[in-house]
Amino acid sequence: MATQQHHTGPEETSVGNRLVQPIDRRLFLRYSGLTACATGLLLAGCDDDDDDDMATDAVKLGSGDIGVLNYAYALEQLEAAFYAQVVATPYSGITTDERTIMQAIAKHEAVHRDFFKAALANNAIKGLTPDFSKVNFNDRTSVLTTARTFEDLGVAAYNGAGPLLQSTAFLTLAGKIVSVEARHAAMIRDLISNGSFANDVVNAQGLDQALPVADVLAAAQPFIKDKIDGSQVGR
Amino acid sequence: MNLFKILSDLEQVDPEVMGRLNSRRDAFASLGNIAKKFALASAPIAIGSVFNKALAQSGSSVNDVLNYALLLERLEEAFYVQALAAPTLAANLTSGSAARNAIQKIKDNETAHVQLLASALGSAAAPAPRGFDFGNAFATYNSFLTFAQAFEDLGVRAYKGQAGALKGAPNNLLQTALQIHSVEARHAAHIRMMRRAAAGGGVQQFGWITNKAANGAPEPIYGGGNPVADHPAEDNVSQGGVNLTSLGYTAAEVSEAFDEPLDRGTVTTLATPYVRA
Repeated sequence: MATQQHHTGPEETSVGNRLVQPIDRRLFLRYSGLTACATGLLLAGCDDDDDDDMATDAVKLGSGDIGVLNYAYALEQLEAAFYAQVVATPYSGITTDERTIMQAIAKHEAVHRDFFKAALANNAIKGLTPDFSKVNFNDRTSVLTTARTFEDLGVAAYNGAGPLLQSTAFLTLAGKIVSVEARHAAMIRDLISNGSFANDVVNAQGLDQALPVADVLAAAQPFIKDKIDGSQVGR
Repeated sequence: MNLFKILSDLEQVDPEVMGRLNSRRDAFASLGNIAKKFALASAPIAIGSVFNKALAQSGSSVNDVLNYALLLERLEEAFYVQALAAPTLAANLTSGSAARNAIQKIKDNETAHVQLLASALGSAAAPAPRGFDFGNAFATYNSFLTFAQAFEDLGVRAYKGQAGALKGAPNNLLQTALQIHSVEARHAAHIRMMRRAAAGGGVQQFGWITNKAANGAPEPIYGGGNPVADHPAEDNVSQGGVNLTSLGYTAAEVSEAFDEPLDRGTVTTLATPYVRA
């Protein structure tokens, strides 16, 4: 049985009201169809994955565009918490430029986090509890390689989630953020090894990574104490 | 290649598309042939010409968008090819140096983008212009880096401005464009840090855009587009109707956290002086 997850069209939300994105009637009908799928009223043709074994206390990101935005919000919370810690307890031997860069990135991620929280309003998931027990914040390599993981993952997450968004306004907003994450990724990579800004994450066709929600959450989950349920994101 | 996904995407954009085909089976057959044609090509994107008209939306067909991206990628590729060959830059871009390796890598990415877009467009690809003339861009290492920053930041804004027009396009074209877009942003960040390094830290900038500081690049690249409501200048602090400075951040911090899209008309106007038609 499909999860009883009520699908909320963006036009009904505070985000939608703020962004004023007129919804095409055809798209609205498709939304309605998706709602029917999500609520199990229509079984034929619905391909939702059931996640019966998901812990009941998991943080549900939600469905449709709201789910995508909460997905981004979860990742931004993780990044913001990480850089806040880096700034609070800088690694030994940090240079002046490195400190400036870390402080700036910490601000950017906090802005992203607070933006999603404000935009999602009462649709926002709760504040997550990070788990950075595997990170040695006193060690430059540990900090920078973790930062690289988060930034590359963020880029891949936004690139993969863009096509899931129904609202053009949300798509543009995600685009405004992903390029900043890519700028971060390039700088962190260059701090690790100058010139590695576009190394293994960019393939022979000159394409950055794009990952599905499940893959991104699997990679992020070890750094978050709360169990995240993204099974309905974009659906 | 998920045919069902493509068909549902197409119907979303244009519910009448099926009416123009004899049957759903016809659509599958057409797509199947295209899939075979592209099966050996590594390009993840293939466009069925039968659907191009169906996908035209808001006066901006997918092919037009791809040809626009192709021209910008050709411009960037030519810029780096000329830079790597410029005698004036030889002392800075010495063989094996970090600077030359970085420029070579960026050039290789741009070449890959050109090939990807050209193969996706196939016969619909616009012919390459006669050439590109970058004037005195290569006169000094600093001027070269300033131009590079301008082109990369402009590229980021240009792709960002077209995401909406690629929504619902087949073969996950939107995602492919996003995957190019973030690579351009990686380039932009590295070039900016190369500028900072070349100036011994004297250029007060990092990998992102603070307010709308051009730092010597043409200022319109960081300014507003048309219409400005949809394409604000890079110093925009209001996102999704929320003025983010009200959350306790400075305008500089907020502007750095978001890059802004730019429309085709403005980008084309900025790029045209370098194109020899």
